[in-house]
Amino acid sequence: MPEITLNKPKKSSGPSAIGKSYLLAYNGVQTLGWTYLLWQSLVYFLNRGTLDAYWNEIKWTLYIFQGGAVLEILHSLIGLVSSGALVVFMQVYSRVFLVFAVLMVVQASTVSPGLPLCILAWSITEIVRYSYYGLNLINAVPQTLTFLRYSTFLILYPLGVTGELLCMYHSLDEIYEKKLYTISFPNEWNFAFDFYYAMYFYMFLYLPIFPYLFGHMLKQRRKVLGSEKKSKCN
Amino acid sequence: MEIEILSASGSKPLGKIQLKEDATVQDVKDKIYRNLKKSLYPDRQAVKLEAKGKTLKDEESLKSLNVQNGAKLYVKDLGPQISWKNVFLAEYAGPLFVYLWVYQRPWLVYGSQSSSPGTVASVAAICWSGHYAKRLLETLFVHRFSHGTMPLRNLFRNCGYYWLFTLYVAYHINHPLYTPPSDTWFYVGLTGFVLCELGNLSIHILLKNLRPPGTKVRRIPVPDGNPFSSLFNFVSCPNYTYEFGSWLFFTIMTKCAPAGLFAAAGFYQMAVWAIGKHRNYKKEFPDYPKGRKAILPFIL
Repeated sequence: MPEITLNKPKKSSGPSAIGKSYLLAYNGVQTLGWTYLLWQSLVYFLNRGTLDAYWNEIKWTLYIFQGGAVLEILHSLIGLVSSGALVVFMQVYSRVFLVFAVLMVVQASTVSPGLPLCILAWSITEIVRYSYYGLNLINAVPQTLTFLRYSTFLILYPLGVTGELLCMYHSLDEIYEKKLYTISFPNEWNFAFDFYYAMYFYMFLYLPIFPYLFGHMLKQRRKVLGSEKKSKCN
Repeated sequence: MEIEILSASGSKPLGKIQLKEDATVQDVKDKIYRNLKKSLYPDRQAVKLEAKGKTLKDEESLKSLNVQNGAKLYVKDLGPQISWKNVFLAEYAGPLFVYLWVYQRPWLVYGSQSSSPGTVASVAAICWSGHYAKRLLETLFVHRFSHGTMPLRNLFRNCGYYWLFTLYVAYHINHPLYTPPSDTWFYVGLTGFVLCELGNLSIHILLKNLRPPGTKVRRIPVPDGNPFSSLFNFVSCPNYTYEFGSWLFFTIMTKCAPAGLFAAAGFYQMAVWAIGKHRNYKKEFPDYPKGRKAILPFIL
């Protein structure tokens, strides 16, 4: 089956010339940004830096380039890329939430050992992903990059999820003590929200969602890398 | 004539079946079930001309599809099925019992409490359970289902949605520190809620009478004598308009933001359905009334 779909010409003609140059620039900038973040982190820890000052060292790089990922939702909304907006939203959401709703606000999460895990997993994934998208626009993806695009997740995805869960776990006590994002009864609109319990619930959601997304990636991997081998044999 | 049956997923042959010349897709499904694969009862099958083609309708005849002796048909396993009626009963029974349970201010939800809910919370409990009691009764005595079954996994999804949302809304309205709104909010909300419920029921009865028992006949619904049904002059799915109205007025009556979230989520889902049905009506009936929208008069 996959061979047939690969041989089919793509239905859409792809983005216009302006759209294409914009996407090239966007993916190029993102590749460089995440490379810089990885570089910053390596230099920091090789210089025997400790966890308590690490966040201040990298936070602006992370704000800019993780925040920049929100543009991807916009890209799919205006039809610049073919992937569905909802799927892109879900992919971008969990990290934007962690960076801007947890790390930016809860000091305890920034000194969690989960943070360097996240940064390591995220930056390598994004360097591979954005350079793949960029080179794909000009049909110049080397085979090694395709292999990396569909292989690094095997290690980096569980690593990243562990990092994310650790950061959230270390934020819990501070959220409880400072009553962060918490609205309590009584109030006129009878609305209550407890971020502490919501966080527990949210972490619990990783349990069904992680295996689902990991399985999805495995399927993609089989489809792309598996069919390549087959077509080489033919 | 003889037809070869293949599985749509792997294009593997399942075997051959013998059919009469005037056979329909329904007959094909029956034969597959009886002669080839006992686990694949007819409702569980989708029959197609090509492995990834469109699903054929039960009443289509093989002659009209140009399927001749020796041709191939593909069958797809839709997974375990459950009847619509049972799904409806399960998903509506939950809200009824969960809400009334939370209304008692159980220790499990609020800790030990000695106070009891006030007037607004009590009226809200009557409205909520009344709505779902009505739906259960409609499922048993009013609705006619044009399609028999849906995949079993939908049961868990639908029940999860209704049961958990009920728990969420009921938690806020029955909270010991709940603040009731002013009398104006309460009476405006209650009146609107009751009217919308009556409207919703009226439309369901009208739709039932539109389809003669035991058939799959489809006609353009038009207002009958009942004044509530005149909403059909403006939208294709007034039952959804009324349903959304019910939850909007329920939110006003209780002045409870989580009830508003429930109304918004329901509106989104019903708008998607309404737009689909509206499109089908227009496609099916060339003389479909021009002025109608899908769910919100003049807007959507």
